[in-house]
Amino acid sequence: MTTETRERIDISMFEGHVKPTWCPGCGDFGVLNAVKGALAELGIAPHEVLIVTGIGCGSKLPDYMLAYGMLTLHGRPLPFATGAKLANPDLHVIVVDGDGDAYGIGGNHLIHTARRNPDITHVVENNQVYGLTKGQYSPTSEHGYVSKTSPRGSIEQAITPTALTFASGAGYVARGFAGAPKDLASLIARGIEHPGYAHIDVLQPCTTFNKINTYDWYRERGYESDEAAGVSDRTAAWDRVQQWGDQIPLGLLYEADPPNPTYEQQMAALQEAEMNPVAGTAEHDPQDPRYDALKRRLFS
Amino acid sequence: MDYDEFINEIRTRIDLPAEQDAEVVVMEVVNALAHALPSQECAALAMALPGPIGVRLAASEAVFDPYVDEHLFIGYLMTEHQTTGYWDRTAGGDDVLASMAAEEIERRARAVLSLIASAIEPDVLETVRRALPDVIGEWFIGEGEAVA
Repeated sequence: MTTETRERIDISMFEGHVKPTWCPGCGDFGVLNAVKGALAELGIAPHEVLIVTGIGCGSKLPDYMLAYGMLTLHGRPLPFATGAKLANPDLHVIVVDGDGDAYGIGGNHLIHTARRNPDITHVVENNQVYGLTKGQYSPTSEHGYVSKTSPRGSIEQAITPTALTFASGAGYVARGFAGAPKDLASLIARGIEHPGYAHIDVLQPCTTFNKINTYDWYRERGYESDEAAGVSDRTAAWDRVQQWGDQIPLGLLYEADPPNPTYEQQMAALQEAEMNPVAGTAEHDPQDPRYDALKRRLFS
Repeated sequence: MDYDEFINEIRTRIDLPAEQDAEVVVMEVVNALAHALPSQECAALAMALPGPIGVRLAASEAVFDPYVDEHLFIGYLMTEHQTTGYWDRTAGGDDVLASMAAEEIERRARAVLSLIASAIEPDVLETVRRALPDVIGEWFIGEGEAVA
């Protein structure tokens, strides 16, 4: 696509034809606007992006926008997305799911995708409750949270997702807020541009089942993290990604510099090494057409 | 129209039991406007509103966000609105009220916005309406589509 064509990509091009069934005021609306805004900012056309989701309210997002979409199994969008990216490295692959899908049933995939580092962007709609199933506590519900499955308060400690993916080796860790969709769009856009797995934890209200973590609750606690302090310093980042409670940092919390090699790059390098175990010997055939294709992928 | 008259009028229009309930609704609409209006229009509206309402809008630390639409706008009002029914005995739940909340929330938002429209100068109203997402702008004058 030419530069001129990219500049003509408008957010309205992603407008879907299906009316969302989300509850009134749901934070998912903010994520939807931010995803569309990010793609428009980058000049990515609808046919160049694949949205992969799991199960949950937020996982209905691809139904409500014009782009390729794939609603997969509960907790499993990350391996699907990894496979899609390997099959078509030119496709922009974005995973969108909720805290239950990503941090609960999908927790295992989260850890290994972060360390595997495929070039995909992971937007997690974290409303600290299971919404679609009507109000059970989730892995990010705070200790003591009263819900239908914790009538006397949750006895489990909540995870801090940004710390989890950072510790698992993620090269891009950020936190956004659904009530500030423009800033969130910038984080998603930077995550798409980041070569490798980009984790964006999005704080958002569930207006129906979570009357604790509301728009105002998040606004009172969220503050813009100072990137000037150094987003590539792992030691400083460790403090940022763990911080929670009365002060919750928003924005880009960590970005590896230089970026870690992606899964696709390393897969291509492995295959290239198998074809060319010893350069300059009789086994090396520079005329092999597969070699050229793999070299392009390796160095792109 | 002074502050007390404004609140009483809202309480009557929405049929709320107490003045405090009306105050909550008004302040949540103001909260939402602070996020949906650019700073210049926000300041103009704050100057035109009765006492504490204008002060609340002017003092808001909200930053204008062009991606705030009518759905996010009513999110602030949803905070104080009852959205679930009685406690049931299964791990599921009664969410019948949530499905009706959209109509009630929108009714409240329209009531506040239309009263604001009648309380400010037409040129300020027009400036504010033009700066808001289309659907919300139309709510000021009793028009516009439903959110749900």
